Amino acid sequence: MTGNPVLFDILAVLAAGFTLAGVLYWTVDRRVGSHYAAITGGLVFLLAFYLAYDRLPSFPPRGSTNKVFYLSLAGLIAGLVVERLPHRDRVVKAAAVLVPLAVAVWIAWPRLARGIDAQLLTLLAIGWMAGTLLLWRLWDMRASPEVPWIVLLVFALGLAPLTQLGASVGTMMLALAFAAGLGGIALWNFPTPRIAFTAPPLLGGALGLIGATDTLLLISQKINLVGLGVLLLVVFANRFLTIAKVQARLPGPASTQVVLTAVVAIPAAIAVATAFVFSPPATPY
Amino acid sequence: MNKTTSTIVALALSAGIGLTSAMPANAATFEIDPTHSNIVFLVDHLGYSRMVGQFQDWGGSFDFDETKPETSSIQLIIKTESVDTDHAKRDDHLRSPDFFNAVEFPELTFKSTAVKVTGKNTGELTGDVTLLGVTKPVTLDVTFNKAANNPWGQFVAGFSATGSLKRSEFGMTTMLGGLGDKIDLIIEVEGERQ
Repeated sequence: MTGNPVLFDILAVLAAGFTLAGVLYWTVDRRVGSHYAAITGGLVFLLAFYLAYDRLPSFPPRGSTNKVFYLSLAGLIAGLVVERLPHRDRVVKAAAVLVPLAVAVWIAWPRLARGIDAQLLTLLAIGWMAGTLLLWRLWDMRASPEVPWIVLLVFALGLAPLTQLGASVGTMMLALAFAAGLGGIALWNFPTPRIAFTAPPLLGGALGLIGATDTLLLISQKINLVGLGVLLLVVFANRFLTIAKVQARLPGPASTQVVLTAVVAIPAAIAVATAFVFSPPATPY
Repeated sequence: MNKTTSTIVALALSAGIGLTSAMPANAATFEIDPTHSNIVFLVDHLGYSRMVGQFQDWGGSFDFDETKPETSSIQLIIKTESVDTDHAKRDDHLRSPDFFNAVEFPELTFKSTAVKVTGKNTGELTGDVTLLGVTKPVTLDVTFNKAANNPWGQFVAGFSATGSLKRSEFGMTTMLGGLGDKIDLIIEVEGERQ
């Protein structure tokens, strides 16, 4: 398809996301009134990981990078179970608070085992809060299913250059390929929302990305904190549209999605620019 | 005195003053002398050339009997944090979870398991390399160079070794498309008898 391995990976995950979500939606969801197409959001993360790192990680996982894969896989399975629970909303919100803490501790364990200091605890708290904020807000947006897909896509896109500036090519590739997969799903939601945003993409895809962010934050300590903080503002972008009553003035769903994407992209662009200022990219080597 | 200068001085002294002993080596334990030992690795870079790196912080010991080399053994511990390719940003990247993951896996180890004599001064040294928590056997071609007293009266044994391993077998798979999978190793070791 292409001689460029980076482009190949991105196009492959985009095609996989688009095809799988479409097939599941048209053959299962539409017929039985379910939301199985949404699991594509978790599956594209796993595919993105496989292509970014050229491997299926060993089990039990050795090292934080490998933990990210199994975190996403476990989250995807847990998400499928949670979807069948009667108090799904409460369970997901409890998970949004507690699971990012558990993930941060698990990722940081090699450092924690050697000794706890104020800097590590601060980074742990940042990882926890960032994870909780992302999961909580994405879940809150699901009434308009196209919104959390777009927000998660833009978050992944913004994270990619932040990780590259932190000298992590693997995480950059993972974030870019995951964003491409989400793009493939988002195409089905344009202009009419079709693919619901349920627990599997939240606990599989989004949680996997949180794990990858924690690796940079807690292990290599190579992510720009100001950039990450600004990037997290993407989760409030749709609030801005509601408060400013922009939607009411737009002619239809297509323009609403375009404007939403543009507004969500603003903090992501600022985050990347901030990271460039604070952590200029390395000269090629 | 830097390493090169001290080596030249040592060679000049041993050649000129003739202090080198012809005393046969006996079974003994040798502590690796880090100032006269190197672990160098080479990896293909986009097919253009081979990038050269080494580790600055490592050590170990070996047991060696010149009359029974097949009974020899060696243990090496390498601090992954000390990877050095003469480029600070690249070294930073090599320490990250993309490659050596120095925070989670601070040590790379080699422990010999077998020695096969292949010639008068040559042999194959097989051992377990543990990298990124994965242990795999690696075989090195070893040449025994010399065992004798140095100009300062210390009994020293020296070896040269070459070999290779595949980094993907240890889970180091980042940028396999651009950076080679095969890592060639060049090892020069001097050890002082304890």
